[in-house]
Amino acid sequence: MPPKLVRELGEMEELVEEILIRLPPDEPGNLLRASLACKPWRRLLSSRGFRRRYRDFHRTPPMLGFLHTWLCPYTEFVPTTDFLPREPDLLQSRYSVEDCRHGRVLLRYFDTDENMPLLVIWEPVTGSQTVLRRPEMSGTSSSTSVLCAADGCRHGDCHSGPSLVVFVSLDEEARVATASMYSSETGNWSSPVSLDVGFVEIEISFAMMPSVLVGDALYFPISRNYINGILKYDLAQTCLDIHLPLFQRSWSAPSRALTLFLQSRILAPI
Amino acid sequence: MATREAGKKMIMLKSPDGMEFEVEEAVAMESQTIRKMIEDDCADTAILIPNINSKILSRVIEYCNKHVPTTGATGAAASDTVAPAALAEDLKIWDAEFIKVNRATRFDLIQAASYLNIKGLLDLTSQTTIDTISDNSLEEIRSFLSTKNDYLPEEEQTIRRENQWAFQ
Repeated sequence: MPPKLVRELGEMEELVEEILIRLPPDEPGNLLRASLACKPWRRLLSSRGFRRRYRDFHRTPPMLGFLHTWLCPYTEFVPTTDFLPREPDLLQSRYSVEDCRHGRVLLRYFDTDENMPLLVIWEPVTGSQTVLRRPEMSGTSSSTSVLCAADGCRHGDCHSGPSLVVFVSLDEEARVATASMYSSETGNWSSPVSLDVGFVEIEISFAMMPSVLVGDALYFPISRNYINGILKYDLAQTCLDIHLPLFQRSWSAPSRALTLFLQSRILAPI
Repeated sequence: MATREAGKKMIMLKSPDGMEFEVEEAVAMESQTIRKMIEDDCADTAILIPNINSKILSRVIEYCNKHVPTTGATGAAASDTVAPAALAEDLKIWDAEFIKVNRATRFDLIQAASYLNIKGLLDLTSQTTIDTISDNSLEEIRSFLSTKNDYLPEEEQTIRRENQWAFQ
């Protein structure tokens, strides 16, 4: 007598993962609906092991949407799948996007109660928000970046892990650049580090483009008159460096030129 | 059942209900599990495939026969004359017919494909379940999969409320 081989899928726990791992990542609502089928499925879908295998199986994460302010008085999330994030709990304020990286969005808004600008690390996938004060650093221009803090991370599902925020400022009059790094693990900003940038001319500021992460360093594009350059913040050494001039400003493709420069820099350090 | 052909190495697969299937080694090696057994020299005479009855095993062999590459030392010259795109289209049509089976058979095929580690068959047999989750309401998903809803009504409502975008 052969064993009874016909079983319902609900009883075939060992196969459920084989099937659910094939749910297409560009329709994230399916993952949520499947997790509400029963609690064992929810435990499976939310487990770290499944998330890692799901990422390995599909390789390229989907684009869930983008943030824009084009012709819009406030920042708006435009979905490209059925996913809609929980909006940041900042409805009393208009916020702007400072940076996006590794599933995190760094927002800035002016808190009227505290009468000061605040930063928020917002994770659209989980909806979590971490509010932090800006470090007390003087400057005429500033730029801020966010990134995952985990060593050796592949950034597929690290949004609930530790984060770093790097705040850099330029002071025209004092001719210094200053930087400080926030760690979500300690909840504190590091002691500021400064760099004499030796400007003679004025009109130096951060370019209207986000920083670029290459290796263990963030590169902030800066403009001085008609010359472009970069301010480097070394995350491991926690120090600043500046490279000026890089090239004459080209309004047609400045970001592409900068990206190419930074890519080449990996092969041939300055 | 496969017949012995000159120059082709054959291998015997046995189901737990006593049936034997003689298949080309190349066809059997569509299964990564069997491939490993052969490569590790663990398959001298016959390979017993546990937990997969003869009905399902014969369907699995049918699938592997169709999907085994036809080029190289073991194959005929079919792919030399048929364009790859046409071949892929032919396989797609064949797969669609192959998977027209009842639910119990499909779940048994999923189990067999998983044990024997045949990625193409696992993709094919899982797809109906994926389509069901994609295209139907939660109640229909539970009914199709015969999963027991162990959420309290208020627990389910909370999750639905917090993730309305997924249930519109």
